[in-house]
Amino acid sequence: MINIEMPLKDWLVLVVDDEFDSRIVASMMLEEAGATVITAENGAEALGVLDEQLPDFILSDLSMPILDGWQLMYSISHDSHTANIPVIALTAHAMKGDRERAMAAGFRNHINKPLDATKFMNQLVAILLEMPEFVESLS
Amino acid sequence: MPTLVQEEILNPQALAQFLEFSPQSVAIFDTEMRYIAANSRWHAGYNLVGKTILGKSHYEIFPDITQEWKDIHQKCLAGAVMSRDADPFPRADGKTDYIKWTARPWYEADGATIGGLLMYTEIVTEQVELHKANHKTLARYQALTEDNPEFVVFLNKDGIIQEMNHLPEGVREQVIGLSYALALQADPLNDDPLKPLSLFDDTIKSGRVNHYYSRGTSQKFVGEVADYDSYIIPLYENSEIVGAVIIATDISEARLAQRKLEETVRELNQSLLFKDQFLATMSHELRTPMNAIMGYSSLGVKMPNLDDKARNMMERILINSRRLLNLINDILDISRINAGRVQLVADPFDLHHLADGWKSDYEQLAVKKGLAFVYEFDPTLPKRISGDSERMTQIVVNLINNAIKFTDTGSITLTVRHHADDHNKMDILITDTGIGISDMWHHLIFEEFRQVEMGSERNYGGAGLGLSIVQKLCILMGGTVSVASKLGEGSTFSVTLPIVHIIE
Repeated sequence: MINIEMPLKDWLVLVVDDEFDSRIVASMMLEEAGATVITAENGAEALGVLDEQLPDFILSDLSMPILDGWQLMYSISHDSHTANIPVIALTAHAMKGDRERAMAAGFRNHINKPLDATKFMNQLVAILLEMPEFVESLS
Repeated sequence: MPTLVQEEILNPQALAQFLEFSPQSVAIFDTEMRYIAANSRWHAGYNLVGKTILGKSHYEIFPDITQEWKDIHQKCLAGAVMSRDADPFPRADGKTDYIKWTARPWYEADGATIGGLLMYTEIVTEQVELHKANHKTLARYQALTEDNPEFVVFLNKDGIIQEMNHLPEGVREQVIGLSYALALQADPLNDDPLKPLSLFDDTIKSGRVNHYYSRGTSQKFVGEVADYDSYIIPLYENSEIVGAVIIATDISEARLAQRKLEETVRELNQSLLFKDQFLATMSHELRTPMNAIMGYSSLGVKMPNLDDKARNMMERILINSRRLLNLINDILDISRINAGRVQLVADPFDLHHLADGWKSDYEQLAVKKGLAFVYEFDPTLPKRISGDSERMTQIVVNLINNAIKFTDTGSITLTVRHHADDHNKMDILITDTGIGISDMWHHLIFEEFRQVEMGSERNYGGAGLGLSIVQKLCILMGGTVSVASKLGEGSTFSVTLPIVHIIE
């Protein structure tokens, strides 16, 4: 059974976003669901974090300075230590085809900004439920 | 005086015959203007055939003769020689002949005494008429060429310029007789001199009228380029091609207007593209602060220890941020549809499941507002069909949201059924018991940014994009949307869409 109150209890999640408020909002929503959140301001910083800790999944913005979400995805998927970590794209581009593009680049799914707490958690849980590696821990 | 006469041989007989067979009408008078001699041509020419005129006065025979003639006679009898090349001569029947004449005195043997008058006349009416006709033709030709804005060049079949209009003073002599090929090649601004030449050859050989566009030196503005629209037309003489006429129209102004139009269209497309990119960028930029507003307020409403006032404010912020997001999405949608960038997918989906989803999503919303929600689904509709289910949902959601928005009491009815006349189409009807729309607005409500004036009582909000998006999506899907409504009684929006069956 999914813990409705705390669906992400004891999970470690990495949030990558260059926008301060976006990082806080996502972090607060994830913490609300019981997760422990670490943040990074861009892809390069995220790779630094990944050297130290391996989160259960990553939520990453796409357009960021220094190293963007696409480049981060490439690095993660080409490193055997991190290749298994699911990465979900967070983007403000509500363009049709973005989801397909993100999936093709290796992202496991795609969530549109702006985030609405209840909708976001429903969407996130639905996405996680589609991933075989999480079905066990969520149910 | 008569140095060329051999007097001993020239007898009166010969003289009489000389007179008679002269190609002109000839008469000899004495000083009193009495006829001494006149040939038959004279008789015939002046209606005197059968009349006895010898010995009689010219004035007795022509009593109506003008004073002008009498004066001429007197002057000549006084020694003058007078002549005219084409003197109008009115006839009794009203016609006018033209006469070429000479009047001169003749002298007695002493060579000094004037013995009388000699008259030589010739009717030149025909020549005069011909000359006049030629003149008329010339005038017509000039009207056709000199006064005509078109350029006309007459070429013989060897391509030599015979005649050409609009030639500046002094240039004419150099141009007439010149080879047209040389003239074209001498024009530094001509884009392709060989083209008209090969077409000219074709016209001469085949008799075909040829047409071409070319560029060359402007005849109006020295040194400037002009665009010409030209025809080569064969010229016949006795059903044989003897040359061709080239008629060229300066279409520079039309071309310029066309180029300006093309430029405008290009700029317009550029600005449409810019608008599109602008909207995409704006939508992205707007989403970032939206994320903070919506994110914090959606978290805020869940905070356990807020007082009611603060929670209420959080809720209002959240509701309004959702409205703002819808607006941003609508604007982005309409700009993408208008730019032709919306591509519908054709994926298989379960129509029954989709429609049930519409019902369960919106029943709650209607009930929350105190409205009944009626759902009528025709179970004979096919289950698996092909299409863009997301966009179909967008259409229905827009219409149901509108229905709920504009209805305060009564019900919302969602009907999904086969189209009455065509089983390959389905109808989706959304009926409400709301404020309704007056007839005069029915044709306007599908336009962008239209929201019918409701008076000041209540503001329903919204940018008026929803129905426009609905209509555009329906058209993209090969369907239609229409409205039936009465002010104060409610509205029914009918969407008719083709059913695309899945071939298994």
